Amino acid sequence: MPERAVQRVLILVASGPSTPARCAAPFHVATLLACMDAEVTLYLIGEGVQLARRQVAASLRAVADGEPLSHFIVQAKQAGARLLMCRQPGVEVDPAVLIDELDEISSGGELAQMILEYEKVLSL
Amino acid sequence: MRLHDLTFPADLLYAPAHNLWLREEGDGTLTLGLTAYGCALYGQIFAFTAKRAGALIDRDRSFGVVEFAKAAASARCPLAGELVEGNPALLERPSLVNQDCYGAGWLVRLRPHDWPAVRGELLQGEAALSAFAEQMRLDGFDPQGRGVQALRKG
Repeated sequence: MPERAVQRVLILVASGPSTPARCAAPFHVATLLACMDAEVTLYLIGEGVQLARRQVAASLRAVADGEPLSHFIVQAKQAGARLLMCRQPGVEVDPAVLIDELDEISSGGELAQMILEYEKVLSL
Repeated sequence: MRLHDLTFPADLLYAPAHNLWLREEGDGTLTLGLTAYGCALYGQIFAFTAKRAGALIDRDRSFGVVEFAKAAASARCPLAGELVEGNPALLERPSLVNQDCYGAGWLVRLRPHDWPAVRGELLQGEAALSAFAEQMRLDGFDPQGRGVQALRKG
């Protein structure tokens, strides 16, 4: 009998402004997975945390003249993906500078828990 | 049958909320495809990827993903069933959906569960046209610009 339980996919987004060409792919993959009914969580970690900044999301482009990163973030959210960001110990973040699409600022322990629980974990 | 210059063949069944047409094949399967209205909403389709053959699809769940300019959307099933096959021709030529959505551009074949019960929920003829007109109104469809205010359905 084919399996039809919902699969949970965790996408670790470690790419950031230093590698703009890599930054849209995690969100597009999340969109496609969510469109296939996977339960998708994007987790911004390391340099990827910068992508949650409004100014970065609005200006960063994977390709010249392409859509800004914010377009891909909105697509992933509309498709149903969840967007979390790693809390950086000792770093104060003003919520006003973060994008509206961010669901939660989460702990490293919560990330570890998800890695152990989710059926698939991707690092992009 | 036509609505805003979009064709809706009278011999097909329709699920307007899903933008799909359905045809009984006489062997217990259905062929499903995107309507002309769905094509107008999405514009040029770059890819359609069906779930694997044998996948069990629940009602209102995804049987595949449609990729179009700058976005992607679920193709959601108006009824439960087993996916028999995706249209293999679309792997090479996804533009068939735009060119011939009621023919060579079909999306999937499905073996429905409890077909006699769900068949009555699908629409045909004038009832289908009225439902599409209402769906276009809800979507904010602009027949001139072929755009919508809210493209994606949850």
